[in-house]
Amino acid sequence: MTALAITILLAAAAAASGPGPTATREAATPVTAYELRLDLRPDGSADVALTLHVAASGSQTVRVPFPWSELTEARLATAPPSSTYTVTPSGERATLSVDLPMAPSAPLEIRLIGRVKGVVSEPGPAGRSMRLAMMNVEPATLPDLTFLIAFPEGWRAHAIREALPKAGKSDAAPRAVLQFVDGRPGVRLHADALVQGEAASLRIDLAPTSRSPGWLIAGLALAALYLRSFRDLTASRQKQKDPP
Amino acid sequence: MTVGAPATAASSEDRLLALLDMEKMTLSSAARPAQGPSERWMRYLGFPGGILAFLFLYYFPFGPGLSGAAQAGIACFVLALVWWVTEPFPTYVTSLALMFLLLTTGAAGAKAIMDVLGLEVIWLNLLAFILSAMLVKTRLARRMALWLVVKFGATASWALFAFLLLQLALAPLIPATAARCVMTLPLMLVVAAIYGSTEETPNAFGKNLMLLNLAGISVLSSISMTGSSANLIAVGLIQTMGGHKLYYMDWMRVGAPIAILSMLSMWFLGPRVLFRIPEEERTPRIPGGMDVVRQKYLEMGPLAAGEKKAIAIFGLVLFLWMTDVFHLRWFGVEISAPFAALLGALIVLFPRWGVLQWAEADIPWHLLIFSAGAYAGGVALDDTGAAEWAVRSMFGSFDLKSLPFGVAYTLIICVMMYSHLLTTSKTVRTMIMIPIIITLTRSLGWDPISFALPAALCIDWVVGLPISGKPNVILFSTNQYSVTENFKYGMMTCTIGVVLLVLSAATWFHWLGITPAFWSLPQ
Repeated sequence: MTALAITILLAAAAAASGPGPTATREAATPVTAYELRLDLRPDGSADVALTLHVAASGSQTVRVPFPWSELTEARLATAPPSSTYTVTPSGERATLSVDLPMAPSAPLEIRLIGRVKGVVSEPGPAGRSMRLAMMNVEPATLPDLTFLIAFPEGWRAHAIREALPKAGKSDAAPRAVLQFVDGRPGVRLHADALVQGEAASLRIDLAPTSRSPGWLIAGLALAALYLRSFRDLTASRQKQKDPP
Repeated sequence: MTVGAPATAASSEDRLLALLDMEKMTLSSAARPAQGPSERWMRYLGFPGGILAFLFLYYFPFGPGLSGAAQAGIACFVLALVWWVTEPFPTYVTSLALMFLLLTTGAAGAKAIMDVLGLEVIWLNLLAFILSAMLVKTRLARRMALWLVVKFGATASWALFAFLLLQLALAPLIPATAARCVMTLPLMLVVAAIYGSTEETPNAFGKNLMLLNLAGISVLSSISMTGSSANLIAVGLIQTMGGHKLYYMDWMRVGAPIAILSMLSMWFLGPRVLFRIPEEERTPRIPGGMDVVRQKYLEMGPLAAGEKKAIAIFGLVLFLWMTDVFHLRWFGVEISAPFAALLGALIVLFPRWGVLQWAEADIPWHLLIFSAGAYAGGVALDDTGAAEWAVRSMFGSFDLKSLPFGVAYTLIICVMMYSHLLTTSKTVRTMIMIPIIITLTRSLGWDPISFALPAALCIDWVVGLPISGKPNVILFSTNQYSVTENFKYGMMTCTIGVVLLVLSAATWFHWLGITPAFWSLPQ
């Protein structure tokens, strides 16, 4: 009797809470590739272009993790007409949902563009830094994930401080690779899969492309001073005043 | 480390005899004097030369593949390399300069630089020196060295061969190369002294003895897959990435002949080609010759109490080093090589029951600082991705797709063998190189094992520079040879290894089914 009562109560509670997140997420259209492209600007903002490749499915909704909760001047550059999108913040994370007018019957590409502020820190004595991070909270694994970032004009990577998910011992290539992106210094992070609960992030310290001449001046001065002060080193041992 | 003769000794003959009294050994940090005019000029020009190399690498536009920190790390490391080789000042001063430069150029953070003094290898060096001091102070080292010379040391060639056999016997027993080096170092110093080679008057025998041991300690580690932890990492990578399970004997049947043949070649060629031992240096140089050595050995009488204690303590440490694979089952924790040495040092220094006072341990801090600088540079090259960038750039410059197996194999073996000059860690080199080699060979259509296993055999050949390996750092401190001489000897050893590996690939590796036909083309 007690067991029956508990079962009825649990069923009622489940019905009152509506469809659970798992139920709705399972219905989302599977994404086959996720490419986030950022063009960093000197003012610290970035032009964002997110390209999603989705497979044919019975669902009208595409749901993927997204690094920012606010995107200005945003629009769907490539998507079936009448498609809409929403960005739902959840703490430090956000989820991007794209609602399609109908379930895709063939693989298609969706492209969202916009701008975000404050991706790169203000220039300081130690240079600048940028961070891009997101976590896959969706039940489905996000396959073929790529971040492609072009650094601001006049800046280059000083050090990659964080690149997640961590590369495995058997991965031949590092997770993040510095390379040219449209003729500008940039970085590419790639992961074959981002499973639920796993984070993808990049934290990079930036430095001006042209180095300060300080080391050149100090180095040459020191070398000249040494050549002058240690001339006696070339003399035979008996003649040396101060052996090294 | 240098061995200074007691100040009371007047003539060189007296000094040689005094050196046999190892209890009076001191560890000095004095710089090795320049050996001639060319070395004096090298020292004079080495300082500005290092700075110019630094400036060139620091400002050169390498492209976007190299981060600013990695570029700065390479510039700092090359500057230190030039200074270590040309020795404008002692090596530990260069290490201090390197650590400061790594911080100020942004190549590494303060914590990463400072933490190197806490590395396992530094601890192992420090503790092994305490154990070494125990062997010296109890006169056990003297007894062992005299016995070695009495039994095998009638001629220089046989004395060298005895050390080769000693290292060959120790290699499978003690995986820690620093431990092997430090426990045999006192013997090397005494035998070198008997043959007239000291810090003040290093001769060809001393150079051959130190460098043969240096090469033997490292190269003979490649006999078995358990010879070093880096070997085991390579075996794991070959299994997970290459899809080939390697058994102990799979490794040994190819690794042992190459390593042993190479060392026998160096034993033969070193004293005849590189550092030719003159006729008069081929027999013991102490006054009275072998008779005096024999007499000194007999004078020592039966084992003293201190010596017995030293044997017991060293036996315990040796036992722990040799049985590390069983520790987890026996004790529930693995007692690694430094902790085994730590236990030994604890007993050695224990009041009343021990055999040493702390002051007698004579720890060579200048050597540890030199090591720390080298490791800090290595850590910076690794953490910033500079080492990986250099390796990828090297492989990227070869068009391996159009080459027959034998040519591609030779190129990859050369890169693997000589790349140790750019790193200070076998483990890091393995982690970078082996996955790249497996991926590369697979993309070329070859079976990964045909490249990866021979490449893995090169992991332990870290013999080119005093900073390339732990034993190198320790032996360089004897001041019996220069960096250039170390480089010459190391390059000859590595080249013999490359030649043997290439000849093997063309013959018996192919017969064993490890490599394809030497001139076959990729499919």
